[in-house]
Amino acid sequence: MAQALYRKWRAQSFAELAGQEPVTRTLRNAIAANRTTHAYLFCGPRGTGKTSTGRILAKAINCLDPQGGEPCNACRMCQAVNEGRLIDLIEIDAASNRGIDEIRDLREKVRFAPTEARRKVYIIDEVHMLTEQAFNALLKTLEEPPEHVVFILATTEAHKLPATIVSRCQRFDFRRIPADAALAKLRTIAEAEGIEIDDAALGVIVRASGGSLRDAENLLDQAVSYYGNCLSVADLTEMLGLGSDERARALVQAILDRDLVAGLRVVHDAAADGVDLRQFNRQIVELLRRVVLTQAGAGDLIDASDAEREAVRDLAGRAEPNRVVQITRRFSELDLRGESVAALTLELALYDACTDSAHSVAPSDRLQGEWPPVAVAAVDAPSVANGGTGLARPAARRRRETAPSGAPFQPSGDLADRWRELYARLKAHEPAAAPVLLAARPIEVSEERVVLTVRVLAPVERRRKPLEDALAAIFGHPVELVVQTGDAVSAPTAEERSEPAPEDELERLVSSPTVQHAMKTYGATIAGIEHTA
Amino acid sequence: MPTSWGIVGQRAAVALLERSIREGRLRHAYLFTGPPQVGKGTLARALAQAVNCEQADPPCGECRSCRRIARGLHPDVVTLRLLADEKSESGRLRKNIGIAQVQDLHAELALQPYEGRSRVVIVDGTERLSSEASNALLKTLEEPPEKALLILVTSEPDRLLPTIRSRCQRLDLRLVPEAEIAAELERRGADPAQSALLARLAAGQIGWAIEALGDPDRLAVRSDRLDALRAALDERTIARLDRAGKLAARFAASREDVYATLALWQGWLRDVLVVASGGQFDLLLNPDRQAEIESAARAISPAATRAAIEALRRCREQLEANVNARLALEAALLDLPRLGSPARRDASSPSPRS
Repeated sequence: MAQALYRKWRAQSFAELAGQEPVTRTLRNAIAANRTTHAYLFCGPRGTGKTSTGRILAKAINCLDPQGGEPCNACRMCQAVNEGRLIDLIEIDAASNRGIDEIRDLREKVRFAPTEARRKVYIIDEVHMLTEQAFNALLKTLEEPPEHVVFILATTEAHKLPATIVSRCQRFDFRRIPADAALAKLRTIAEAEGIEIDDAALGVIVRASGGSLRDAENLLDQAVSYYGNCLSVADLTEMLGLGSDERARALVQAILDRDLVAGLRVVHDAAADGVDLRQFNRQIVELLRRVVLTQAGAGDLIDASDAEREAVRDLAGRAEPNRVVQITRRFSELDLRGESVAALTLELALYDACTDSAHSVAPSDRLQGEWPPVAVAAVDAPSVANGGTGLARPAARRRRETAPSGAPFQPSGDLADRWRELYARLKAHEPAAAPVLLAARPIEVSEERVVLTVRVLAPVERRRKPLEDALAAIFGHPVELVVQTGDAVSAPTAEERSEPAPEDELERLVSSPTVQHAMKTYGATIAGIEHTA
Repeated sequence: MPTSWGIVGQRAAVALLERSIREGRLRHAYLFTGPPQVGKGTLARALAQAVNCEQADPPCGECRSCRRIARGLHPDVVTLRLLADEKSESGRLRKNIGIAQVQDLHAELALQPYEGRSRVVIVDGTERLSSEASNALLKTLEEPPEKALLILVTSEPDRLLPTIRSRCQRLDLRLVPEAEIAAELERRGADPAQSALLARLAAGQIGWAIEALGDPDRLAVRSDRLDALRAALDERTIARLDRAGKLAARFAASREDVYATLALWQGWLRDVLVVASGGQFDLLLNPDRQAEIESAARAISPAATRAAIEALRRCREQLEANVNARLALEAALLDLPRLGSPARRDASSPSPRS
């Protein structure tokens, strides 16, 4: 196997180490002044140079010809380390050797003097995986090791270490590699490896790497595997799934035009051709985001060619901004992990977007906590006794914790959206009273006033107090609640039900002891009423 | 001249690996990702063959080495996967790949290859590595011994440690185009009509199609499940509760069974929605059920169909969250629309055809 770039280009001196100047300066000064300590702790995210620094430090400490704190990389000690054959550099994989026996063994061996180097260096990598007893067994040794020993502990998860371990080490926090440092390093590698790539393309890699140099080097390596030695921005955006292709544009257009059949066709063709739907969805969301930006007058923030900009402008003229924002949210929240139903999930989002259906993963669902509502009908079922209670209870508890939270409600979007959102918050806030408004039709939803039409007034009036209190809490200030009678009632969530739910029936339901019990004990909500018998 | 390594679909992935081998750019650690049953494991084995093949044009599939790898007998190709749980009598698998398995692997990797040129480790279902096992793999994954090649296979890369992902070269496998699945099925001796149906039902998962070809029961099971949904739509509350009870009992025996049923039902309802929205025939997931789907599309409103799909989706979510299975299934079944008895339907909403 040829060596991966990230191994081939592992830093061999402090100077080569990218983006960790505070750490390297301190260490170099300490070595130059001969003031190294006996235990170091290196922590930081993946690919930021912890293990590399450990090895460089081991070299610098034992180098026969150190140069201002840097290892010379020429003497026999340095070479032995570089070739991985210095007996006195012991690298321990704490994740594979995590028990107390291994640490006891280590304690025994620590006592022996180094064979050729000045000091024995123990690099304990992934140290967070040691067991509790192993940590405890390490404590004494770590605090007062023999003169000839240096410990270097490295981990990505410092928070898992006992405080007693951390306090015995000199701690260095490795930061994510700054973009310019990563870029410079990639540039060096590319030149040495004969890879033709410009800074813009390298920038794409660096942004995708999340501050991990290993990830960046790996992406470069991967790009060369995919596209050969000559790489463009387009290659990289394609590899990373950032580009937006014709299919994504066609689908977004179908969504904005509410052309369901055309949209279904696009999804079907994409799936049939083996397109990765998760990546496809990322493209859709990115494109929708561009539409939103363009509509907001910030089109110049988009990284795109003129032709692409033009396409986005065309899309932007096809739907009003609020709807695009809603759709963007809907698609960005899609969970396409269950691959066997990924196409279905995408199609349903498409259906909802084209029909303005309310099945979105709306904020309403979020407010109720992660437990989806249990339909009331099911609570009467005979199986409650065999464990239902124990499982359902967290729902009620969680709801109480999460419901009142959230920022003050600010009406936005069209009337139906505002009411849907408000109703969801009401339901979360006041699960006992809110359902009387299930079938209410909004007339006005604003900062001052909420005007609703219902079929029968009495049930609402009877709950006026809790409802007004809930509204005040949701808006952050008192709000006038006006309820009037009228027909043509449409429901926000029950609109798909075959039979509309009149309030008096809701009233009867809500006050029935069974339903009360279900709502209180299981956190059930009334999703709708269906006549079953 | 690119070959296909005997893999259906996945041309880009095969071409990449082939070029990497030819140019001496093969890396020590790969992460194969992609939906279930699209050929990740098959590709991993093909790569193992390619690096160990004795012929000039690897993987030949004919030489001793290739054949032994295909049969899982090659001493230098090790596969880490879920082991059987000794504690369970029913032969269930353990929940994860434990650290002991990874430690055994370390011991083995320390040895030189027995006969092949490379030692290949295939981790099948990498997302099943326990947290300890994942961590124990990190050092090896970054700097394995010479001549070692690690291939991590997963359908859920997001569940892996970022430190694992960061050490591998990633190769995303895709759903296999329908036409290629159909062609492969025909090559395996299926008649065109059957190939077309299975290729459609497979939805890109060629593994499923090939299994279904060899096992007619699969199609029968699917038919039964769809019949059950069709029957449930005509049923009243009591019968539906009864049905939910039976499903819950099945859930206790095999979760996957019930998940598959729910997915199938969603697909059928989705077809109803597609037809109701004016979609063409070739968009259907269940083309063999066209007549029944069309009649349902006339009887159920799109909104009700959509709500039913949502109910099934929610049900699956609840089951995964370990909500009482019977409650969740009852709620879902009661949320399905009712078609009513044929006589009543005719009386209340005369459909164009009847």
